[in-house]
Amino acid sequence: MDFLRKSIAKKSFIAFLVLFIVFSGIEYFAIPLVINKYYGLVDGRLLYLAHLIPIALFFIAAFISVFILAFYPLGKIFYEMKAYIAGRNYRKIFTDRIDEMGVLAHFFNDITRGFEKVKIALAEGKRMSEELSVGNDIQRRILPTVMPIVPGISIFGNTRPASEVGGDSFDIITAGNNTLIYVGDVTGHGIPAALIMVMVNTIIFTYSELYPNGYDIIVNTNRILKQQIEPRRFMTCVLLRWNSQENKMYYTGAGHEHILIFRKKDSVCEVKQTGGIALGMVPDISHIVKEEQIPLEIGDCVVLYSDGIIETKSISGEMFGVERLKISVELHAGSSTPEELVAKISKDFSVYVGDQIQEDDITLIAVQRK
Amino acid sequence: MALLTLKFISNPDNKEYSIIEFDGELDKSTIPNAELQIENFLVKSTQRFVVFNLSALKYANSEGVGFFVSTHTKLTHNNKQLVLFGLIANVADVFDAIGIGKLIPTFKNLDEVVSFVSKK
Repeated sequence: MDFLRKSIAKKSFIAFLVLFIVFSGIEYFAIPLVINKYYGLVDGRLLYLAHLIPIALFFIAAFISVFILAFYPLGKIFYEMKAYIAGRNYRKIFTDRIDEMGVLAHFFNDITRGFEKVKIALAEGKRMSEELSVGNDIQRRILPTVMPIVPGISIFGNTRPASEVGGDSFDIITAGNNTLIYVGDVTGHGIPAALIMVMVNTIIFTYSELYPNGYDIIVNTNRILKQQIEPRRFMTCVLLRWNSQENKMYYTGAGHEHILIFRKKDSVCEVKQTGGIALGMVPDISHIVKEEQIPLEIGDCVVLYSDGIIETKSISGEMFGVERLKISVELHAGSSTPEELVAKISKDFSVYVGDQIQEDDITLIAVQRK
Repeated sequence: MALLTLKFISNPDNKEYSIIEFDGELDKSTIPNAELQIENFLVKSTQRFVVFNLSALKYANSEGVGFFVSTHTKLTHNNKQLVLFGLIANVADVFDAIGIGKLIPTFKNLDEVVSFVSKK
């Protein structure tokens, strides 16, 4: 009987057929008997009306059948649909019917369930977006917004995360005669990188007050970081230390990108490997890293950056690269303050990469000897 | 989207090392599949040294480097050693900058690897 359950038309047809047989039987067998019995006893016109009773009953029964089979369930489904469209409370439609009404009811249930999931996902997305926005605020507060005035040097730095929160870090910390300027880049970007970035930022800030040189700060930061992060994560870093009493600049590299040093006298840019090993890779880096001096003359400029700059590709798929960055520094550093230099390099970078989506965090710092 | 193909060379007669050849680019889109394949391979591998031939690896970003460090750590915990060779210039630059050579033995070619393995 499944073929009947699956179609309202077939069910209606069978119902009409049954009713037709039943009422035809009444009309042709029962009514003549009644008429014969009462013939002559009542008004002939009333007996004639007796023929109409089964016909009227047939139509009433037919209407009830159609109502039960189609109009009533359709009304229930439409009621819930209207409630859903109007934003009122609606209920799931429970039915074991497998005909068109059943399909419609199940379709309604599926659609509303789907929309509910989307609604929940959107609400969750909104919540996460708000939390990321808070994360973004926290990161912004960590990063220096006002560049400090340091005797002997001018500094300007800027960072642009690829998403709401980023894995690039930079800070400028003054402790006694030392001013520490560092840029760090955590593997990847997004929340995991941002958490490590915040962790490292705090460690370096704390150690800057305990240790008088970059070497000890980097070695001890690594010691703590290695215990806290999973093996695949690490942070490359380069730390500059300007001693305003000695008027000397030092650097300690931890597997970071090259340092660019612009020599004003010759208008050339040196590219120097930072050396060392990235933080978080091995437990002890005391034999690998070292602090070295960068001799600087008035007008010389040190540029630090994260790999987001040099690895971003143009529309043709070619990376910006160290060489273009070096050319940009050579072109602008001689006639610019650190802030202007960062702006000009950023402009050259933007022109080169065009409308390409920023896939990695980007940080640029310029330090000029004055 | 970047592509990466891995080729596994494990000679049963060679008790010392097995070789995995990398062809393509290693970034966050190709790392999960590479990790899975290597994990499956290492379950069966009995050799002490696992040698990565990177001569056809065209690009590896910092996440790619993270993959090598993570593989190195896993192998070390299992008393095995990761060895790299054949890095092309731009990949070697990234590895040099980050200091991978100080962590994982890295060589120019297979001959150097064989020499290193035989001394161990």
